[in-house]
Amino acid sequence: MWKFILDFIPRAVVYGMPLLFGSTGEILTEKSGNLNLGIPGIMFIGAIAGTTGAYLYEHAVAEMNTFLAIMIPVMCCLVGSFLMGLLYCFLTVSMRANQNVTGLSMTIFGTGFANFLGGVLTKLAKSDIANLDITRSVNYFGDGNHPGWLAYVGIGIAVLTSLFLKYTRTGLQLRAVGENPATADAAGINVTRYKYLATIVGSMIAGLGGLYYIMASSRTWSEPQIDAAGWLAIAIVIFTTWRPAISIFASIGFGGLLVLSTNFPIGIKELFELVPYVVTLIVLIMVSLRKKRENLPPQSLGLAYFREER
Amino acid sequence: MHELEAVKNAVRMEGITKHFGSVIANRNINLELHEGEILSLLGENGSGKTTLMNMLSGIYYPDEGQIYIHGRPVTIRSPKDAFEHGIGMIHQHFKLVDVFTATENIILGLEEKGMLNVKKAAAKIREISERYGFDIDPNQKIYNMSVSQKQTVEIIKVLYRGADILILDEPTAVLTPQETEKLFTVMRNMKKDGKSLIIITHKLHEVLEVSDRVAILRKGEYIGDVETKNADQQSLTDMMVGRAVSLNIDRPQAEEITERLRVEHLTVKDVEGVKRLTDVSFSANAGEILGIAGIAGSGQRELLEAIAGLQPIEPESRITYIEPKTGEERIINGMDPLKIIRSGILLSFVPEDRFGMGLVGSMSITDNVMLRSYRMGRFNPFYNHRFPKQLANEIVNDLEVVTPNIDRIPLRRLSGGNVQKVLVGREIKQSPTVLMTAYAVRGLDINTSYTIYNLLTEQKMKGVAVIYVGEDLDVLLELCDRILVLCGGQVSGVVDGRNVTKEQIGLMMTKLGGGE
Amino acid sequence: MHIAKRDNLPVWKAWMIRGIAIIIAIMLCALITYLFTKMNPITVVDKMFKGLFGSERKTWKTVYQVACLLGISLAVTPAFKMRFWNIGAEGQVLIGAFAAAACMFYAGRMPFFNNPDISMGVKNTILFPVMMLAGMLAGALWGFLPAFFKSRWNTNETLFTLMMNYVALQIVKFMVSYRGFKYLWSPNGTAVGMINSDLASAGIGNFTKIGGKPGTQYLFSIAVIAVLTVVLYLYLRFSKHGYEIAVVGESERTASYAGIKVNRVIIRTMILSGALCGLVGFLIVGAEGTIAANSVDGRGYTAVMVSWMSQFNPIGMVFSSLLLVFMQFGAKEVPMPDGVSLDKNFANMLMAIILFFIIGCEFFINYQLQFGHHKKRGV
Repeated sequence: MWKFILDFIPRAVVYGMPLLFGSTGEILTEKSGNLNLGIPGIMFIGAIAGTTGAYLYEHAVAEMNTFLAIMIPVMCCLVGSFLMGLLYCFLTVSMRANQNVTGLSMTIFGTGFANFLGGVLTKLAKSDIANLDITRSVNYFGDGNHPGWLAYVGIGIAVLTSLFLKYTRTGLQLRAVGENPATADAAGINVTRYKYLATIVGSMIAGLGGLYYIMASSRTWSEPQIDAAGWLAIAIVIFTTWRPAISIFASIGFGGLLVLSTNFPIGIKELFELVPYVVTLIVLIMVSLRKKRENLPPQSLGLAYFREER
Repeated sequence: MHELEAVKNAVRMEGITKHFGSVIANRNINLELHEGEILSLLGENGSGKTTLMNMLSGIYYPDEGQIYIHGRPVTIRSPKDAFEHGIGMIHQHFKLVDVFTATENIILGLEEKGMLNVKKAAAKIREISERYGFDIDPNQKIYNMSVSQKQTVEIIKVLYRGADILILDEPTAVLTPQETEKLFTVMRNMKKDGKSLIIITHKLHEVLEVSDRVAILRKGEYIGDVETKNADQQSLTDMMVGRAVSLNIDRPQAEEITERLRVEHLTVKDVEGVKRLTDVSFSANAGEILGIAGIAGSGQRELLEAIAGLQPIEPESRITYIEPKTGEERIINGMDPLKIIRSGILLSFVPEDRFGMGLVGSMSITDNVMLRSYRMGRFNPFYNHRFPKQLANEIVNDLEVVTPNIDRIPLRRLSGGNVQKVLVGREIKQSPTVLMTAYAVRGLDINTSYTIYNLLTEQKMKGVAVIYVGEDLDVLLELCDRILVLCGGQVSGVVDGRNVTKEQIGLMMTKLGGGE
Repeated sequence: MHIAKRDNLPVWKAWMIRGIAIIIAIMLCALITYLFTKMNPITVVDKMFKGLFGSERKTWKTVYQVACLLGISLAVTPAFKMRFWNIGAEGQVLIGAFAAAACMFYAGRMPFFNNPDISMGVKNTILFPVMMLAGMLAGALWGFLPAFFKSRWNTNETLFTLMMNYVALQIVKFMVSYRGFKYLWSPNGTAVGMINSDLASAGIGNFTKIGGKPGTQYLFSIAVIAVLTVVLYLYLRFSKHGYEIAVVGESERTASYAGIKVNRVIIRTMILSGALCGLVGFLIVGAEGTIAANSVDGRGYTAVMVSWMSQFNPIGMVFSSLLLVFMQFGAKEVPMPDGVSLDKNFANMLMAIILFFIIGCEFFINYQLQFGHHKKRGV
C-alpha cells in the first residue's frame, strides 16, 4: 500500500505539472480580462520550441554542458510562448479582435505548427525509431518517475502568482483591470500595458507546461497530447475559481486521475478522464448559482476594452 | 492682481467655452470658487453644469478659456492632472470595483513604492473617517454596500489622494434624507478643515441649507451668483428657469375628453431596493396631452417603464386601462410588453434612451419600423416584409426623414433628429390609444421639435391619450393640457397647463407641493 | 495617433478589405510552403487541385468535406448572431453522431433489420428518420444545457460549452472503446468504433452509393446541407425568429421593449443550434458508417471561425468553408521532395495564418486610425 502511494504521488505530480503551468498562466491571463483559449496552442509552441532547442544542442555537441542543456530548451520555450502571447495581445488588445476566435485560431496554429515541426525534426533525425532522439537532454529534466526540478519551479510559480495577485499593489491593479477596466483606467492604471504584460507572462508560464510535458513527462516527441492538457488546464482555472495556490492540488489531483486511468483497461480509462470535465462543469454551475462574487469569473472576461470617444 | 483680492480663489475659470459638435455646452463661462467655501452650482438639466465641472476634473478639455488654481494658470488634460492640482470629483456613476474592499478601491492606482500595505492604508482611511465623520468599514466589500456607503468610498478616495478642492456631482440624487443630512455634516466638516467644495444640484432647499454661495447656469451660460444668505427659493428659481418665452405652439381643445389610463398608488423600487416612485396616482385622458415635469431623475423613466410593463412594481400599485369604445376597465399591471400587445392594448412608447431601448442602431429604418409589427400573421413563421417597407416609406415621407435609403443604411448613421422622427413615426403609425414620450425633442433642432409637437397634438385630437415627459418648461406650458409635476418620485401636484406660471411649476419641481 | 470607432464603411469596402487580407495571407502561406518544399507555388496549387478534384471520387469527397464544415458553421450561426458565444459545436456534433450511431447499433440487434427478406430501402426508410431524430435530440440537449444555465444564472457560456465538448468526447471514447461495448458495437470484435459492421456493409444505416459509383454515398449529406444553407439563410433573414435573434443580439433592452422574451429566445436558439449540429453528426455517421472519437476532428472549432469570418452570412460561409477545406485537405496532397507529404498539421498551420489575417483585418473595418491630434467628433 505504502509502496503504491509512494509510487503514485510522484507520478501524479508528473502528470499534473503541465496542467499546473497551464492553469497558472491562464489564471494570470484571465485576471487581466483576457480569456485566452489559445493556451493549448501556446503550450504546444512552448513544447516544440524547447524540444527543437534541445535537439539542436544535443546533436551539435558531443559533451553536453549542464547549464546549456537546461537553459537552451528553457529559453527557446520562453521565446516561443512569448511570441504567441504577443500575437494574442496584439490581436485582442491592440486590434480589439474577438478573444474566442483569436484564441481558437492560436490553438489551431500552435497544434499544427508544433506537430508539423516535430514531424520534420523526426524526419531530419532519420532515426530508426519513430520518436525524436532527445534522450540525453531529457535527463537534465528528471528521470521520468520523479517530478524533477522543473516541477518545483512550477509549484513555486503558482505560489508566487497567488501571492502576487493577493498581496502586491500590481496584483491588485491587475485584478481591477480584469474586473472593471473603465474604473482601472479612471484610476490612472494603464489598462493596455497590464493586459499585455499579464497575458504574455501567462503565456510564457503556460509554455513551460508544454516543455515539462515533453522533457519531464513523455521524455520524447511522439504525437504528444498537449492540447488535451491545455484544455484541462483551462478547466482547472474554472475548477479552482481562479486561485493558483489551489491549482497546485487540483492539478496534481487531476494528474492522479490520469495516472489511475492508465492502470485501467481501455474503456474504464475514458471514464476516469471524463471526471475532471464533469466536476469542472458542476463547479461552474455551482459558482454561478451561489453568486459568491469572489468566485465568479473576472467581470470583464472576454470583452475588449475600448475607452469610448468622449 | 488676483493675489490682491480679499478672498482667495481656490479655482477661477475664465471664459470657458466647450462645444460638442454643433452644440454649445458651455459658452464663455466665468466661475470662481473661494477657498474654504461651499459653492452650489445650480441649473436645470442640460444647463451645462456637469460639462463645466468635467473640464475641471480633466475629463473634458475646454475649447477656449483658462483655468486658475489658487491663482496659478494650469492646464488640466486628464484626471491625473486634476489630482495633481488637488482637484477631486465625485461622479454620479461610481467607479468602483465590486469585488474589492473599500480600502482596495481607495488605494487603486496610487503610485506608491513597496509592498501593498492594506493595514496601513486602512488605518489612514479610519483616520480620515474620524476627522470628517464618515461611517465606513475599510474592509467591507463594495457589493455589500449601500449607495450611500459607495459614495462615501468615492469621497474618501478623493480625500486620500490629498484633494483640497472637491466637486460633488448631484450627490444627493441617490440618498435618503437621513443620508443627505449626514453628507451635509461631512461637507461642513471638510469646509472647516479648509477644503473648498462645489456641489452640483438642482434641489433648492439643499442649496439653501448647505452652501455659502450659489452660481447659476442656464442653457450653457453663466447667469450669475448670489450669497446664499441673500437668496430664497423664489429668487433662485427665477434665475434658474428664466423668464417665460413664447413659443407659439398650437394648443387646440379636443372635443371629447375621456379617461383612458388610471394609475393608482404606483410604487417602484430599483434593484438596490431604493424607492424611485412613491404612491403616484393620476389619470391620463384621451384627447389630452398630459405633461410630466420634474427635475431629471425624479422618477419619470420609472413611471413610463412601469406603465409599459418593463419595470417591476410594488403590489399595492394598480394601473387600469379603459377601453376606448366599450369603457371596459382592464388592469394591466403585472403584464409584460408581450402580454400588453397580445391583449390588444395599443400602447406606444418613445423611450428616453433611443438606441439603448427603442431602436437597434445597426439595423435599417425598415427593420426598426418592423420592431412593432413583425408579429403580424400569428401563424406565419416569416414576417411580412412589404408592410414595414411601406410603413417606413410613409414615415420617411410624412415626417420628412432625410436618409439615402430605408433598407440598407444603419439607423445609427442618421442624424439625431432623423432617428427620433423614425422612432416617433413608428410609435404613432401603430395607431395607439396611449402614446408615451420621454424627452422626445432632446438634442433636436427647432424645426424638428415643432414637427414632433404638431404630431403629438395631432394624436391628441385623434383621441389618443398622450403623456409627454419634458424638460423644457416653456414647451410644457404651451403644449400640455395638464401638467403633472414630480418631485423626488412623488406627485408634487397636477396643474392646468393653460393657467399656470413657469415659476409655480419650478417651485413644485424643487419642493413637494410647491409651497401651496 | 488616435483610434476611433466607425460604422460607416460601405459593405463592399469591408469585403474588399477582407479579400485583400485573404490574398496577403495566401501569399504568405505560399511563401511558407515554398520554404518547406522548394516547389513553385503554382505547382503546389496545381497539385492541391489535382489532389482534391482529380477524380470523381476525390471531388465527391472534397465537396462532402466542404458540406460538413459548412453544415456545422450554419448550425452555430444563429447562436452567434445572438452574441451567445457557443464554442460547443464540437461536442454537439459528436454527441449527435453518437446518438445516431447508437440507433444504428440497436437496429442491428433487431430481427427486423436482420431479416434478408425485407428490402434495404424499407429498412433505411425506417431507420434514417430515427437516427436523424436521435442525433438532433442529443445535439439539442447539448445546446440546451448551457443556454438554460446562461439565461437563468448567467453562467459563462463559453466555458460551459467548452467543457461540454470534452464531456461528449469522453462519453464517445468510452462508448466506443469499453471492452464490453466494443463487442456490442462490432460483434466480431475487431474494428473498434465501427458500428455494427454487418449492417453497415449491407448498406443499412449509412448512405449507400448510388449505382455503385464511388463517392456517391456523400450525395445525401451534400444535398441536405445545400438545403440547410438556403433554409437557414431564409430563417435568419426573413423569419420572425431570425429577426428576434438579431434584435436580442444587438440590444436585450430593446428586445424586451418590443415584447421579445429574451430568455426564451436564447434557449430556443441554442436548442436549434444544437439540433442542427446533431443533424450534421447524423450525416457524418450516415456517410462514413462509423463513429469514432475523432469523427468531428476539430471541425466544431473551425466552424466557429467560418461562421465568424463570414460575418454570419450563410452565403459567405459557403466560400469560407471551401477556402478552409481547400487549405486543410489540399496541403495533404502536396508531396515533399523527400517523398513525404505535407500533413494535416501543416495545413492547420496555414489555415490559422489565414484566420489571423482575417481576424486582424476586422480592425480596419470597425475602426479608423486618425493621425495628428485629437479630432472633435460631430454630433
